[in-house]
Amino acid sequence: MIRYSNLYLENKIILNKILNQVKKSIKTSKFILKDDVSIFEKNICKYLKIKYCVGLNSGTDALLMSLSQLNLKKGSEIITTPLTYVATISAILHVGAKPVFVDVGEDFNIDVSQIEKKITKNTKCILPVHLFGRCCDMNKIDQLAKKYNLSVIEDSAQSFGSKIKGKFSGTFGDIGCFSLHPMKTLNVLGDGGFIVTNNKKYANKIRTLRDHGRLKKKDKSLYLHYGFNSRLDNIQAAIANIKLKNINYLIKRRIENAALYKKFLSKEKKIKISFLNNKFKYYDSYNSFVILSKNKKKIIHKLKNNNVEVLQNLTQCITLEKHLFSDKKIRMKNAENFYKNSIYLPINPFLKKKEIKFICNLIISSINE
Amino acid sequence: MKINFVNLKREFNLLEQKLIKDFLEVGNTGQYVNGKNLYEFERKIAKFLGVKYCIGVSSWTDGAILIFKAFSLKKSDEVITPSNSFLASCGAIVAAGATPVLADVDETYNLSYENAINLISNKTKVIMPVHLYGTPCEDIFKLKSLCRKRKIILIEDAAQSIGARIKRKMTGAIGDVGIFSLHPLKNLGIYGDGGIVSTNNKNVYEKLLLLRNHGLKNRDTATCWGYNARLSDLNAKFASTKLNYLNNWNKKHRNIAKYYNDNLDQSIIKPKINPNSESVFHNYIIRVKKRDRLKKYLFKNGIETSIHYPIPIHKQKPFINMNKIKLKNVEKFSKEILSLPIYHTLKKKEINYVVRKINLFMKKNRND
Repeated sequence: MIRYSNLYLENKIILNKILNQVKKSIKTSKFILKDDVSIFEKNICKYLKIKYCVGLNSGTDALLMSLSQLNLKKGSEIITTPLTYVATISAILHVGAKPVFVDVGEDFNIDVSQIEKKITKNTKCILPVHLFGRCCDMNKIDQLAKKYNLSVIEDSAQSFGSKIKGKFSGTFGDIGCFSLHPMKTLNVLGDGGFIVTNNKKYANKIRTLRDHGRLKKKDKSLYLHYGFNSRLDNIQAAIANIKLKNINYLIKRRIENAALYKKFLSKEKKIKISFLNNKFKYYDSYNSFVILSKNKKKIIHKLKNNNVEVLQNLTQCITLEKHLFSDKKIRMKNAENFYKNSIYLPINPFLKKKEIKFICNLIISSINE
Repeated sequence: MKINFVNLKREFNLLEQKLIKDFLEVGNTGQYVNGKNLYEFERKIAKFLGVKYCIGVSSWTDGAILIFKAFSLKKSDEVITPSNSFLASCGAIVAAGATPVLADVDETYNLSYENAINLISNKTKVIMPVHLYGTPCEDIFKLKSLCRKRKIILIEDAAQSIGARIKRKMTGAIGDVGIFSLHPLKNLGIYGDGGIVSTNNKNVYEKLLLLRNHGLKNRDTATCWGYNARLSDLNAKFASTKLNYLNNWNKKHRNIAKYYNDNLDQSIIKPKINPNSESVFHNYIIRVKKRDRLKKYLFKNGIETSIHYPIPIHKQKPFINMNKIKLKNVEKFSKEILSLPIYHTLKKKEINYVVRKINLFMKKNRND
C-alpha cells in the first residue's frame, strides 16, 4: 500500500520530542498565548525574513482577519482564482466583499495577464493563491497593485517555503496567510495558522483581534475593540517549533520526489505535469503534485487496483455551483478543465524512489493500454 | 504558604500516564482533524449531558458565532444577555453581526426573569442567560417558557457550568442550544482552546456540522459558506479521558464551597444557591466592601485571588455605545466580588489557611 499521506511517519520520528514538549507545557500550565507562541512567531519572522508574525487558530481565520483590515464596503471587489480551497472564497464573502474570478494559467495559478481587465473602480484587493507550493507571478501582481492602488493579500496556505528569487511566498503583499493544518508542508497536530506582514499596524490589530480585542500589558489588560477567539494553541506552537527545525529537509524531499515524477513522466504526451515549465526559476515547495489527463478514470482505476492512494477533486469548479453562486455566467475554462482531469499523486517526504517509479509505471501502462 | 489561584500541574500529575497514552495513540493515527477521536468524544459528552447531539468546536466564542449564524441573525436582531460575564459572550454576538442588549443580574449573579422580560422588544430574537461561576441560572425554566411563548430562541451560555444541574437537568441541555468552553481553566479543560455545542435540534446540529468545517458535506463538496472552527482530535481525546473524572471533581468543588460557606466570617456575602440546583463552583465568589484591601492582604500572605469580572461588559471600551446604560447590581457587584481559589486538587490545609487569613482580616477591620 502506498499512502497519499505519510504524516504518521513524519510524526513518529519526533513524537517523543513532541511529547516532552507537551509535558513541559502542561506542567508549567502554558496553554494560551504563552512563550511558545511568541517563540514560534519569532522563528517564522526569521525564516521568512519578515518583520511580524501573528499565530492564529487556522489558515481560514488568517484570511478572514487579513481581509477585515482592508476597510471593505458592500460592493468592494476582490480579485482571486476559482481554483482554490473553498475557504479562500468564503473568507471574501464573510467580510462582505464580492469575489471576482480570473481563470488560471499553465501552472494552475491565477493568470496574471487576465487580471487587469477585471479591475474596476470597486476593486480593493488582489488575493493570489500560491497553489500546490508554486508562487504566483508576484512581480506582475505587484505592478498592477501599485498602478491601481490595490492591496495584496496572499493565500500562502499551500506554499510554506516556496520562493521567487530567494523571496518567500507570503512576503510579497501586504499580508501573507498561512495554514498549519496536518496536510500542509509545515503542519501541527490539529488546526493552526498565522499571518505575516511588514506592516506594524496590521500586525498589532490582528494580534488583539485574535484575543477578544484584548491588549495584554505586564500588569493589566485592555479591551481595545471587538474581537474573536482565534489563538494558535501554545502546544501546537511548540510542536511547530520542533517541526521548523526539520522543514528544509522535508521540503527538499518533496522537491526530489517531484523531480523523479518529472523524469519518469515527462515524455508521456497524454498527461500534463505540475510545473514542468519553470522558466522563471521558481522555488516550488510541492505541497501537492498534480497531473492532468483525459484518461483520469483509467489511471485512477489502475492505481487503486494496485493499492496506490491518490486524491481527486470530487466536485466541479466552485464557480459552477449554482447553490453558492446564482450568477450563471461565470465560465472558467482552465479551472473547470482542471477539476475534470486532475489527479493528486503522493508527494510526501517519506515516499521512496521505487514507489514513485512503481506509480509512474502504472500510469504509463494505463494510458497505453 | 503559597496558594495559586489555579494549579493545573497537580491535575496533570494525577493523570500523566493516561494522558501520555492518549497523546501517543492520537499521534500515531496520523489523523488530527475531523477524526474518530472527535466523534467518540462528541457521542460521549452528548450522553453525559443527556442531549441528542454535541458538536466539538474551536472555542466557546466560535461555537456562539456559528450558532448565531445558524439561526441567521441580522443586525436588527437583538440578543439579551447579562453584563456580568466574560466579554466574549457579547463579542460573539457582535462578531456574528447581531445586536447585544445587556441586562442586569440579581443576587445570584445570574440573569433573572424580571431583568430579561423588561428588555424584550419586537426585535428580540435570542435570550442567552449565562450559568455564571458554574451555578445554574435559577430562572432558566421560567425563561424557557417565556421564550416558547414569545417565539424567542433560548441559548444557554454554559461556558463555566459543565456538569451543573438544576432540577436534575444538566445546564446546556435545557434551552434550544447550550454552548460550553473547554478552555484550560474550565472544570473540564483541555490543553488549548476548544468548546462544545449541545442541542436536541437535528437541523441546528446539521447546520453546525457544515458551518464548522467550511460548509463541506464531504471532503470536496461545499453546500454553504462556512468557517474553520473545529476541535482537534488530540484535545477531544484529552477531554474524553478527563470526562471520566468530571463528576468526582465537581463534587470536590462543592465540598470546598461548603467548607468556605460554613467557615468564612459571617459578615461576608457568600454564593446563594437554589436548593434545586447543583452548582459546580467553577468560581467561588464572596462579596465584601473592602474588596481591594482584602485582595492585597491575601496576596501578601501568599494567597492568589481573582475578580470575575472587574469591569462589566457595558463599561468596556468596545461597547462604547452602551457605556451610558445603568445596570445597578452589575456595577455594584463588580466593586465587591472576589474569587477565591477553588480546584479539585486544592488541599484541606490550604483551604483552611485561606479561611483563617480572610477571617483574621475581617476581624481586624470590623470597625472600619
